[in-house]
Formats: sequence, structure tokens, C-alpha cells
Amino acid sequence: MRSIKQRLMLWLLTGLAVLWCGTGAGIYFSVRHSLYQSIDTALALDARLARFTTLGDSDSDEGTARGRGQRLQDRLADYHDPQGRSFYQVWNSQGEVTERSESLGDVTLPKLDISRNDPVFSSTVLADGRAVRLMSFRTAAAGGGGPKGKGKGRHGAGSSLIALAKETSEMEGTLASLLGGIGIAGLLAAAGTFFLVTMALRHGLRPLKTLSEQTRNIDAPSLKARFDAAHAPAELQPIYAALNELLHRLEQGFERERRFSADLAHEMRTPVAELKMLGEVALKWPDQTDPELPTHSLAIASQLENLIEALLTLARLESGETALQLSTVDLSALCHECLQPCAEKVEAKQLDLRLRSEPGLSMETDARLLRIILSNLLTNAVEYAPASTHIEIELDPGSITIANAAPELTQEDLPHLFDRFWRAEKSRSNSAHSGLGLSLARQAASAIGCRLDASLSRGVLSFTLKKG
Amino acid sequence: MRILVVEDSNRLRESIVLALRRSGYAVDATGDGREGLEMAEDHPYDAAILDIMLPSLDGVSILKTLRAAGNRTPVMFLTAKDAVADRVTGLRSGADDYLVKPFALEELLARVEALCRRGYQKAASETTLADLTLDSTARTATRAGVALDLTAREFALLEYLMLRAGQIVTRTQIEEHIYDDLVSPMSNVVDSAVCALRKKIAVSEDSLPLIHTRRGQGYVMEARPA
Repeated sequence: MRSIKQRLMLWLLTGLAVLWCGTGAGIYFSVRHSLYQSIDTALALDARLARFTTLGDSDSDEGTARGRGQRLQDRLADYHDPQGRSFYQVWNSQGEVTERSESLGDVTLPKLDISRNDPVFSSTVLADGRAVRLMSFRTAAAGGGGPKGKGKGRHGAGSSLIALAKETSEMEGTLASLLGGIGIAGLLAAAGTFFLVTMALRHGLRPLKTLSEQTRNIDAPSLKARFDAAHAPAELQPIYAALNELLHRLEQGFERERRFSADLAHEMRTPVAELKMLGEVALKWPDQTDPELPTHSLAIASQLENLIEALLTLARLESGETALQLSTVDLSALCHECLQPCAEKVEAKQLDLRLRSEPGLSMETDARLLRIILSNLLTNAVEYAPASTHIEIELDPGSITIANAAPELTQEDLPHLFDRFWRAEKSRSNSAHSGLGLSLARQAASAIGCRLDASLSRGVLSFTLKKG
Repeated sequence: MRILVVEDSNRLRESIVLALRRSGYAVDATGDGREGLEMAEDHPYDAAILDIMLPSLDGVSILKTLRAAGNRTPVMFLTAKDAVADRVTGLRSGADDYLVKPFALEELLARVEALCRRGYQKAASETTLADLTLDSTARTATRAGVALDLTAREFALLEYLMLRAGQIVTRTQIEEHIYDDLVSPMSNVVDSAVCALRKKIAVSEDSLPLIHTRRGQGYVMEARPA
């Protein structure tokens, strides 16, 4: 079951139904029990009275006792009334019926085979269909007379079995109407509960509906919007907070992508504009064609090629498509190799390269990716280090550090260093660099399971490549 | 017409300068924002083409500084930023036009021409004085139905004089608008250029002299008997 509403409904309704049935049954059975108990008490009382009147009968000379016996006779009159609802029957020790009440008519009370003196209570149905409560007990050896109380029941030795019974139809009727009442109350309660639960769920789950409506309205252009958690219930607050956080991250991601697209367009447009102008000028004034035209065209084409290469590599690294080709790489040899292309610039700027390394230090990694990292970092260092300063390259087991003076860089620039197309200077005059180098280096670093971080202290910018 | 070009891509700047010069404009160019601002403040250019992203000072700041100082030079932004917001920002900051890279050369030339015209409160590309007609777009001039054979610089000089017809134009103004820094003219270069132009527009014996000398002041172009 997927719906919270349905699940809650099921649980609540089942639980409440069980509860209601339990309560109804409890009421019914406790009432029934107390009704039977009162009948049983009445039967026991009658039994005692029967014995008492028998005694009273034997001492008939005593006037006061007779009078009391008369009252008791009245009390027991129901047993002798042919239409009465109380019955008795007496069996002697031989099991023969010695006495029976007139109210029994043709039917007989069941003879229970009991041996002890303790009375036994039971419910039974007489042959004529009347439900009765039966109390069976044995008299002491002296024998016990029935409620008739005329001494007829004296049989000398051996005990008689006496059965007293009262019709329970009236009580059964009461119980039946009680059961009906409980049933009707239960049905009403069930309907009421269903209605209440439905309403409560609908009302209680409304914040979820609101949330889903708000969520549905979110698309790429509206990522700036945030969920209004002010009216949200406490249970949903964490969800709102998480959603808002997600939106924030999405917005940042989209913003980054948008900036990247805009920057990319800008990066491509300038060389294309250059190329187009060269061509158009050459076409418009064909007789005055610049002899440098092919050189310029080629340079622009190479620049575009580099840009596209860098973008493709970046895309591949970011998507994690690159399979690593591990080999043992001699670090200082690789550094020298990466510095080769900028040798002229190093010369021209009179840069002092200081390479510190243990002899023969090597690293088990993808040589191609490590070359991307080192060549970008070293080209950057050579490009941006002020003339006549030094560049420090430190190779340690597990980390590589490249540091150069960067007097114009500020702490605020640091977080942007690895952004695609970010350059310290806002213009794109230096077309030799795409502005993708450091993002490439960082992606390559993560591809070989390393971290590339930049730090700036006292005007010295250091890049550190670390395992992990 | 003298144009200022501030564009930081060397190759693009060189191509634009070449195209404008060959179209008869005098052109000054730089790749640096601050230098561009100084040049715009120093010379009364007929139009300026500014890139937005520039080293040291961006194009929008240059324009704002110029406009704040009351400089009315028509300015066109030339940029790779093409978002509507960027165009609006550019135009709001006081630019007269906005061209997104990459662009077609003909469009650039037409827009520059329109910008120059704007500086002289002219709506159409054709200018007429008596029987002399000049078409700034086609870059042709005809007198009494005869096409004039003019060099680019002669055409520029004629165009400038015609745009300011009826007004006295000093030699310095001509130097400033027709010659760029590369061709630093001697004082008599203007005189000889005007002299040559006079000969070229005098297509027949009864052609009315149109360029008149105001001694000690300069030249004035108008249709009146000498």
C-alpha cells in the first residue's frame, strides 16, 4: 500500500474496530456474568430458604417460627405455581424422583451426577424449550426436603439430589437487547470513526499536498524560488530544509553551467570573429591581401583546436569515462618534459626553476593524466610568475607542490582558480590560454585519486597535489 | 572620418583597422582600456568601437567616464556577450549601437557609417550640395551626373566637408578627422589635399566652385559664386 492516507486509514480503522468490538464484548459479557451471578445467588438463597422452611415445619408448635415460615412459603410460592418460573425436583439416594414442583408440568429437570455437597450451577434448556439456570446439590445424609417444606423428603440414610431451577428467558431477553444496543452503538461508532478519520487524515495530510504542489511548480528558471517553511508543520520542516538545500545546490549547479555556456560562447566567438574578419577583409580587397593571413588563420585554428581538445578532455574526465592506464612514472623526468614547451618563456622572463626531489622518485599512476596536471600547473607558473622570480617544484613521496610568486592574486580569487574560463584578468587578451587548464588539472587529479589544492600565503601561490 | 577602435584581441583589432582604413576612415586603435579612454578624451573622434572585456578598464566603464565628462562621440560596443541583459546594459550606459561577435564585415562598416552620420545629425546616406551628390554607403560621388574618381582619403575629405557644409572647417579639424596618428601630416598636407580635391570636383568649365578658403580660418563648403 503506497498511500500514507490509506495506510493510516487501515491502521486506525482496524485498530478502532478491534477496540470497539473488545469494549462491546466486555460490556456484554460482564453484564451477562453479573446477571447469571444474581440468578445463582437467588437460587442459593432459595436453597437455603428451602432448608430453613423444612426446619421450621418440623418445629410447627412455635408460632413465631410458623409465621416466619409462612412468609418464606410465600417467597417460594413461585415454585408451586403451575405458571411459575421457578422449578425444583428431588431424587432420593436410589435415584428415584421423590418430589417435583408443579411449575415443571410434564418436563423434568436434568439429573446431574454429582457426589459432593457443593452445589453445581449449570445452564440448560428444558424439553419444552425454556432456558433455565440449574442449581444441583445433595442434601446431608439426613435428607433434604424440597421447597415444599412439608417433610415429605425425609428418607433416612443416604442423601437426596435436589435440583432448583429458574427460567432465564427474561435475562436472555435483556442480554439480547443489550447485544443489539451494543451492535447499533458499534455501527454508529464505526461510521463516526470512519468519517472522523477521513476528515482528520485529509486535514492532517494537507501540508503534504501543499508541498507537492509547490514542488510541481519548480523548473529550471524558477530555481531561485525557495519553499516557504513558515507555515509547514514541524514534521515536514526537515523535508523543507532538505528541499531548499537541494534547490540551492541545483541553482548553483545551473548557474555554473549557464556561466560555463556563456563563457564558452565568448571563448569561441572571439577566434571565430577573428577568422571571419581575416577572410572578409581578404575577399573585399583581394589585391591587397596580407601575406601574414595564412599564419594568422593557422594560429586561430590551433587556438580553437586546443580549446576543443581541452573541453573534450574535461567532459570525459568529468563524466568519469577515462579508464586509467597505470604505469610507474619518474616524477622529475616528467616535470622536465612538461617544462620543455615553456623553455623559451623561462629564458625570456629569467625565471629560476628550483626542482627538489629525491633521486629516482616515482609514482604508480596514469602518466597521461599526471602529465595534464603537471604541464598545466607548470605552464601557469611560468606564465604568471613575475619576471626574475623563482618557481619551486617540490617532489615528495605522496605529494607534489609547485609554487610561484603571484603578487596580484588575492584570497578572494582562490576559490575561483579552478572555475572553468576563470582568469585573474577579466579580459581575454591572452588568447594562448583557454582558462580551462586548472579545471582540467583538478579533474585529472580526482581521476587518478588525488586532490589538487591551491593556497596563497605572502604573495606566493602554491598548488599541492596529494594522494587521497 | 576618424574612428577609435579599442579591442584586446590583436588579430581582430588589426583586421578591423585594416578594413576601416581601406574604407577611407582614419583609425586609431589600442588593446588597452585605460589607453583607449585617454585617446577618446584627447581626440574628437567621429565614432568609437569598444570591446567590453578589456584589460585595465572595461568598455562600459570607458563609455560611462566619457559620457559623464559630456563627450558625445557615437559609440558602438563590439563584444562576444550576446545576452539581452548585456545588450541592455551596454545601450543604457550610453552606447549608440551594439554588435555581437562574430559579425559580418559589411555590417560593421554600415554601422560605423551610420554612427558617423549620427554625429552630424544626418538621417540618410546621400548628401547633396548643388549638383554634387555623395553616397556614403556606396562611397561614390557624382557631379552633374559625372562620377568622380576619388581616392579613399579624398572621398573622406569631401564627405567631411559636405557633412559640415556651410560651416567653417579648420585645418586642425581636418587633420583630426581625416588623418590618423600613423600618417602624421605636415601642415601643408591638408592644403594640398584640398587643392587636389577642388580640381577633381571641377568636372567642367562652368562647374561652380564649392570649396572656399577663409583666410586664416580654414575652409567652408557651400554653393555660392566665388
